[in-house]
Amino acid sequence: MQKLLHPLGDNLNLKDPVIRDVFRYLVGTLISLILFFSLSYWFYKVPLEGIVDAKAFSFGVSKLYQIIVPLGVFALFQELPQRQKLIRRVVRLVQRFQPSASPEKYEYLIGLTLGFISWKIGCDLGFMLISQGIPNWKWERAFTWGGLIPYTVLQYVFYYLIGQKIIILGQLNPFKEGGDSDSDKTAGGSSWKQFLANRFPRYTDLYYFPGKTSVKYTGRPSPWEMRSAKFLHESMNATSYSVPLRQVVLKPFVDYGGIIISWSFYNVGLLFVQSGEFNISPLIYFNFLEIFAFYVVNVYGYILGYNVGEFLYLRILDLGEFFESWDQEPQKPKVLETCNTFPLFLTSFLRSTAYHGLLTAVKSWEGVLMSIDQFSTLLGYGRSPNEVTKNEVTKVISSPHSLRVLTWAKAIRQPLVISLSVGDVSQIFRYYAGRFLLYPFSKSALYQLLMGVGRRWELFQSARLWAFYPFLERYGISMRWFVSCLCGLVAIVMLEPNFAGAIFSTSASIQHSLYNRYGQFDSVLAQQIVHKSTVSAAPPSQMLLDNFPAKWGALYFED
Amino acid sequence: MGLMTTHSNIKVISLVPRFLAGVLCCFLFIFSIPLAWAADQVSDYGVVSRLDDQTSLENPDVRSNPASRGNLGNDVLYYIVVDRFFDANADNNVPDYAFPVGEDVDRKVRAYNDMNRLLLRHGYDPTHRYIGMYWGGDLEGVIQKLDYLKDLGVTKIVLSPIQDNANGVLYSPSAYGYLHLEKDDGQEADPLYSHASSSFHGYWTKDWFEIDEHFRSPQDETGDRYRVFRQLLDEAGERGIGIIMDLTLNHTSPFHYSSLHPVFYPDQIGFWFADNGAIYRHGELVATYWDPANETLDPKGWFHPLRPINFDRPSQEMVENGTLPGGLPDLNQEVPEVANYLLDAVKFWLNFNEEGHQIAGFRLDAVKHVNVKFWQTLENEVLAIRPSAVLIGEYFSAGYRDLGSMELYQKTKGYTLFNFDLSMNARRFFARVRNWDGRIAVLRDLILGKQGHYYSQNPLQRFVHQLFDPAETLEVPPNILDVVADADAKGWVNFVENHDEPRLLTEHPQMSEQAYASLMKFIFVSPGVPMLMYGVESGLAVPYHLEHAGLFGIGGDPFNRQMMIWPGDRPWNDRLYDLTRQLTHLRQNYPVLRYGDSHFLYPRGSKPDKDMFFIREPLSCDAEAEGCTRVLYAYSTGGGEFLVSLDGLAGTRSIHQVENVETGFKAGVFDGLIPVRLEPEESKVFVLE
Repeated sequence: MQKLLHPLGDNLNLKDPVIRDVFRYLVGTLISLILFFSLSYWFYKVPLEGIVDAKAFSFGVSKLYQIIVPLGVFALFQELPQRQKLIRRVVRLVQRFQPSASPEKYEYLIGLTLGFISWKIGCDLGFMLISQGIPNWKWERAFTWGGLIPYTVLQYVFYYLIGQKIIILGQLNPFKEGGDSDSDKTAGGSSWKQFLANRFPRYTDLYYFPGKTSVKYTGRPSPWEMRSAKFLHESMNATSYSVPLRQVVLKPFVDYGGIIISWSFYNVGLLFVQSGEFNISPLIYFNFLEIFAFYVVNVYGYILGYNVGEFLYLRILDLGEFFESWDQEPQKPKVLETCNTFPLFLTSFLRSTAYHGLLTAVKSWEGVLMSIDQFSTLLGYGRSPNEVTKNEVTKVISSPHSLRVLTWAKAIRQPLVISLSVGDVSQIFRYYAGRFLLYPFSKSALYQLLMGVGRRWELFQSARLWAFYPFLERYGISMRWFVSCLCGLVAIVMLEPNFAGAIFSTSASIQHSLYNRYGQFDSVLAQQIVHKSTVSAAPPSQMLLDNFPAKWGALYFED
Repeated sequence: MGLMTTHSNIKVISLVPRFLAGVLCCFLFIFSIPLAWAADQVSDYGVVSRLDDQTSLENPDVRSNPASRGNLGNDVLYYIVVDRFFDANADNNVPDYAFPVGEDVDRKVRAYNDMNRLLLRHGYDPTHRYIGMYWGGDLEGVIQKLDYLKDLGVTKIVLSPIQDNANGVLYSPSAYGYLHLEKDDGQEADPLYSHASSSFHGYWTKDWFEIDEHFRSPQDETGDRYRVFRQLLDEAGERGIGIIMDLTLNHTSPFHYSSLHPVFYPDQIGFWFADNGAIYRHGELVATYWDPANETLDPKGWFHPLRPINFDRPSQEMVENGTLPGGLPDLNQEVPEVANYLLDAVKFWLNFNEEGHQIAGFRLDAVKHVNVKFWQTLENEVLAIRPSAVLIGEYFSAGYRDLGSMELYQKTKGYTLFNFDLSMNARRFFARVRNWDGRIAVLRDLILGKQGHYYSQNPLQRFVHQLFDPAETLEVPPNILDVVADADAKGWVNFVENHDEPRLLTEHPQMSEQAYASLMKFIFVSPGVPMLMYGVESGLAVPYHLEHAGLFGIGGDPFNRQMMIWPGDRPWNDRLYDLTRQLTHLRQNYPVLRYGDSHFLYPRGSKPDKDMFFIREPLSCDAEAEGCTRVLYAYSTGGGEFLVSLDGLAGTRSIHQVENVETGFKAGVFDGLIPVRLEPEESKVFVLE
């Protein structure tokens, strides 16, 4: 009897050279990462939250939950055993009061409710993480059912019926599901499918709502419309070239309006549950700007990253094709230049005055801001600062080939620049590749490795993953989806400080302008200041700045 | 017969709901047993030990005035930022005399003194426009104003730290410090001073055993450097006023982390300091932090590593061992030498002035940033020396609903705390920011404690409530109430303003004087010990301006620390001052406000979420007893006429007279009914006898 091929049995053994090499690479990468973070912490006392902005990280986590929770709940609902039976029972119960109730409609309503609730919980899980600065805020507040009920109702009315149906789709009767004509019905199918099309458009053939009042394509959209759709719009955490311009333009307003209304009423519901009072103050005292920043970063940062991820994924596919072309070339193992000596750059760098300067600079990240001028001063460590010309520094850090490592100085938000040229990085990489991974760095060897990995992956897919494919396909989960989403999340984390910072600073500028133009200034209270001030003034601060260096030198550096 | 049948039918029918109610009660009771048990077992603190308030209340004397943690009695506290109170001695405004630079002085010392002289000159602002700099207030100024404080009704003064602070200037581009007299008059402001901070507040200590030179007198330099402080203690003591010292035991002073001198860049933070976080003992250097000459950081290991606290997601370890904003070196109290140094300082001040009046106790700054073990040691040492010493821990945002503060409170035994929960909620309520916490429902449960609505719910009600609101974020958690004795909670310190939070009239420029006065009355009538931040009695505040924004918002630190004004100054508000004075005296005349119980009332026509009526009555007020005085607080958002009924309150039949505290108007009480007329946002306080 022929033995069945088992990818994780016979084929996954550490004696397999391919598996062994992959294992080496993975272990090498893992060790490098652990070393990097450990050294950062031990030598520079830089904690992880110092390297990654904690707030940015929270934004990323928030988005992650927004992706996972609704998808998970939706999938769970779909895969629920006895789901149809359960729905039929509910409908039978309803039919006692409303004989015309159809199972499809109630399946749709249950799905919709679950969608909103899971969406809310998904948002909360992350959003509450960024709200910890507010006293007594706890993320568990997200699970306050008393608040979820008004949230879901408000989402349904304002976001779904008014926002999606009336405003975006232009359906004057928001309760009307599907089109009237046969063709529309054919295109739209059941209301459940329409719901799927709405909530999970990329997982269905149907992208747009059918119906006489809905927006329909009448031809291929223009390139700029397609680009606008791709780079300014996301729906259900995915982007697409084919979204009507109307939807691209209106969706942010509907989304933001929906958030404002449903969130503030969520709070109204909470207050009602607690004390029985109907208090609409949460509508007035709402964190409009913070939510706006949150929305912008999480949507547009994600779109950018998602598209970059998609691009990368396609390039990876191209790369695979490129590697395949190697197979056609004559096999001439050509060992790439490895570096068996300690990289010259590192040797010279560690001995250099600049290193000591940088060490001081990195250590000082918590307390001292660094400008190019100060960096110049630090580079001149051991020399007179004047010996280091500004050109010298500028040349180093402004070189187009330099790799800039922006620092983790969250508190000061000032980039500290460490310059390494691409050549330096390459040298370091080769050194460590040769030193630790001990792999002949040749084109053919790399090809063999990749091909080996590819073959085993295919084997694994066909032997192991086949059972999951229908499930994954149902919910659009693929490698492309994974890479794109991951890049979207990374983009949010990377861009949050700048995006949010720009929004807040713009808002501050607007507030200042408005205040200067229209603001009131209490002259009676100002009298309290006037009364106590005197004519004589402190000596100009320039005198302090002029005299301090000499006294500093006298105190610390004169024997 | 027919009539009888009807009657019996009615009787039977009326029994049905009673029967059903009985069944329901049995049902509730059966379910309440396991639920109550479960509620007790499941707690954030693990197994919760219930404190029995009744045990301490068996003694009649204790029942009337039970002692509370922290040793505050029926006090009215008054917090003074010494530099901002009153400048009685212009000679110590730039106290060069503390840093002699004569030829006879050692060269190294002379260089240090010379540096300090430069910093002193640039740390004092006679114009009083740069709020981060020294303005000249001193201890002699406090002495001169003791009669004012006595007349106001203050019983204890809390002084901002007067220990020797590091001289220097911290420049932060994101921190404003210029006081505007008009909307756009900042064009001529000095670029450095307008974003500068100095140690005027006293929280950048370098020598815990000395008085800062700004608060000494030049004449005492060669004699008793503590003379002025002794004089303050004695003169205050003679007036029956205690002095509470503020101690910062968490950190030292800012430093410039480089061997190169600081350079001014408008868009970057900068530090001009001589001490760089060093610690001294009576002027002798005992530990350096950053030594630019040798480029050594913390050579003796007295500090925690530099690591800023992420206030968005703080861990306990980070809060205790992290570095506060501004890069303030964080002392490691787990190092025995550090703990001993600090405890020695505490004992030094506790035993100070043995011949005369001694300090009443301590306000301990930033307690959440120091490990609990140190606080346990400190309270043991202090209370062993003087069991009556006042100990107030400043745990920012403390209160029933701040679990961190309650955890620390539970682990210690001698500290009272600032009740941020009640105070900040009250501020929001009266400033009409009633969207979340600033609501009567919250205030009511904070005041009532174990008599509160949520705590009093039966286990089933609470179970249902938790089902809908599992986080209980709006409630006072019952398990917290189980571990805090009511008598102790009545010893927590309430405030209208404090040295961090914005002045009310700056933060809420639209707030009416009526609302401000109502808040004052509320704080004085509520359970707890009221603390007045200097100037609150006259509505002291800088005008609302977007650049008058500090750490805690517009009007917050340092913009809440402007120079004190005095009666006779043009913007002085006599009405508020008179009201404050009346309230402080009311407080002392009626200890029921400090020790009594509270009951909320709901007169017909009042709105439970907008109008507030509560009564304070003695713990030991027996039914129908004569002379059992009560105090009623009445507030209405929209105003109106209300008939307050005392029905249902034990012993209120003996009340025959009601007196309006402000006007002195007296009226009779008939059938336990008190008519109250209120304007919008107005409150009235009545004494019921």
